[in-house]
Amino acid sequence: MKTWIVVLFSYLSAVIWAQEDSLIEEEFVAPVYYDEKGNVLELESLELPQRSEEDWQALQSGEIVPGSSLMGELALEQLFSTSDEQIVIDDEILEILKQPIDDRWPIEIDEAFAGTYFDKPASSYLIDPQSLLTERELEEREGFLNYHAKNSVIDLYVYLFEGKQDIPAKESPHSVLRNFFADRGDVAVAFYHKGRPDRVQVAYSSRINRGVSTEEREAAILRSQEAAGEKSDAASQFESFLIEMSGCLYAMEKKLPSVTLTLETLEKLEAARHEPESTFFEKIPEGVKTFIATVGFLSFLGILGFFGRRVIENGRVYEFPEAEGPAILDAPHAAGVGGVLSYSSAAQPPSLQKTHSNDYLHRL
Amino acid sequence: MEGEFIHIEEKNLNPLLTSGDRSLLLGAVRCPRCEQSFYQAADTCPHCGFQHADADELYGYDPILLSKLTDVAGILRMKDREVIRKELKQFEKKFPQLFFAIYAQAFENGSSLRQYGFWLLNHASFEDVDLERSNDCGILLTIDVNAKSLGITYGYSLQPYLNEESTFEILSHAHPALLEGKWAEALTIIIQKVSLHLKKKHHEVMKNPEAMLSECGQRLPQKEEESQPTPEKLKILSEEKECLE
Repeated sequence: MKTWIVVLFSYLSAVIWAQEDSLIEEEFVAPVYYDEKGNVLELESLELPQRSEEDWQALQSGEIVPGSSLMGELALEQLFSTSDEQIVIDDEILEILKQPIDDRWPIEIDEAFAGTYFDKPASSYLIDPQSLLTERELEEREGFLNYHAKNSVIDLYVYLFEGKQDIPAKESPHSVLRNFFADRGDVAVAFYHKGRPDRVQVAYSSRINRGVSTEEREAAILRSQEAAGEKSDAASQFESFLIEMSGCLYAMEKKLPSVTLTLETLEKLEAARHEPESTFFEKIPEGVKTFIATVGFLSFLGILGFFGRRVIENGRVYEFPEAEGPAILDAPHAAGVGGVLSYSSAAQPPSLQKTHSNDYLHRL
Repeated sequence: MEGEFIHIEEKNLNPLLTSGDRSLLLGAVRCPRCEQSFYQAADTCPHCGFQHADADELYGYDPILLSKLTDVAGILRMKDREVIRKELKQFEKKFPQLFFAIYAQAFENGSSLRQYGFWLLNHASFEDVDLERSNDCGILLTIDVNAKSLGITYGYSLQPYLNEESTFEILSHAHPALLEGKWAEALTIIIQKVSLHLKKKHHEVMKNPEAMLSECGQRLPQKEEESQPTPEKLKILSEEKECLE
């Protein structure tokens, strides 16, 4: 047994080692080099750069300082200067530095992204067409919002904007809510500016507005802003905002008038969100549905009856009526002589192997 | 065999006879020795003169103690015997008045399976059968391993429900298994088929017990005053018998 285990382990190790090697080989791609004209150079023709004799002597004498070409003339002079002379920066550069930072960034949303924000319904709970979040951040935040949606009646849709971007005057969370989320149950729509939690705007659907007081709704936004403000970087701020807002929505959910939704209602809402097109079953005509239901019900009854009868039959007892009659052939108990079957031949059917009466009796 | 059956037309019987008396005369059974049909009430076979005493003379007078499953020939393995015992138990559970017995032996040449079955069911005492179930309520399957044949014998209580045709049909169902030597399977089939047949007959007899019993010369137990035939009836019966014989 141990030998077999050792052999198996060795085999598996060899297989894994071989696969690893093959992976390394697959990943390795030989570099391709081009000359100034764009022609591909063969690896054999390439040579390492050679330092000329003059350069070598200049380097040894200190005329050439390694990296000086990168640091620039100014840095080189400063390096070899023995005086404490201050570096003088050009006025042009200073002018650039003096300009207000805000002016360097666009404040309007690009038209290419505006359509995604305001002209069509959201396809996910987090709308970030400008890719302001990294891929991993986006995945994590979306995962959180999906989790929230599964566990809460109130869904939270977040539109993410850059910190300095201005929302067009005609657009707002309320208009988005009205245009695209009117038939999606209880929803909260938030416009969040990355790095500026203080600019957040939140709109709630009508049932939430009716069931939860204005103070409570504003307090929820304020608490979320405060939670975000406790963090230093924009990504963490956004994360804290979502967590706090989610918690506040859970609290609001309990105060809604008919929060005790049935499972059926929830399923319908879920279906309305994710399955805008009718399903195959919905396409079946009502008459066919009724027929299928009737046949199914009758079949069920039939099967039930069949098995029920089997159960009853198995437990049933058969009692024959008592009878009396005369004795036959003077036998005390039995005179019933039944059939006799021979099974000597496989070539003949049983009917031909029925034992016959004795010949002498036929003469009677 | 059909030629030997003596037919009695009902119109020739005395109109004073009751339906039970009529059936007594009309019904017929087969002789275990000559296999010919004769009237229910006959004490001896009118064709060959066979009677119970002849079987005793042939096979012995001493009572025999058997169990429901007696495998003298050794055709069943231990495992198979358990299966068959379960089937027999199940049969008795379904039919609390009846029992089913199996006797397998390698008979000597020339022995009649019908006669031996007839004698055995009238002589044997089955040790594992309740005392409430007399041999009148028994079905005996006799197997002759040497002659490769098997037959069924049944008591008086089963006379209205079994006959040669039905029992032969039941045995025929087991023919393929018998040819292959699958004894457990063959015996299981026979027991289950007998059960099925008796269930059907039970259904029939419960509809009209008197009619069915009267077909084989039996009748429901009557009150004491009714059960005693009047001297006039007895006289008529004896006259009819003598006339027919």
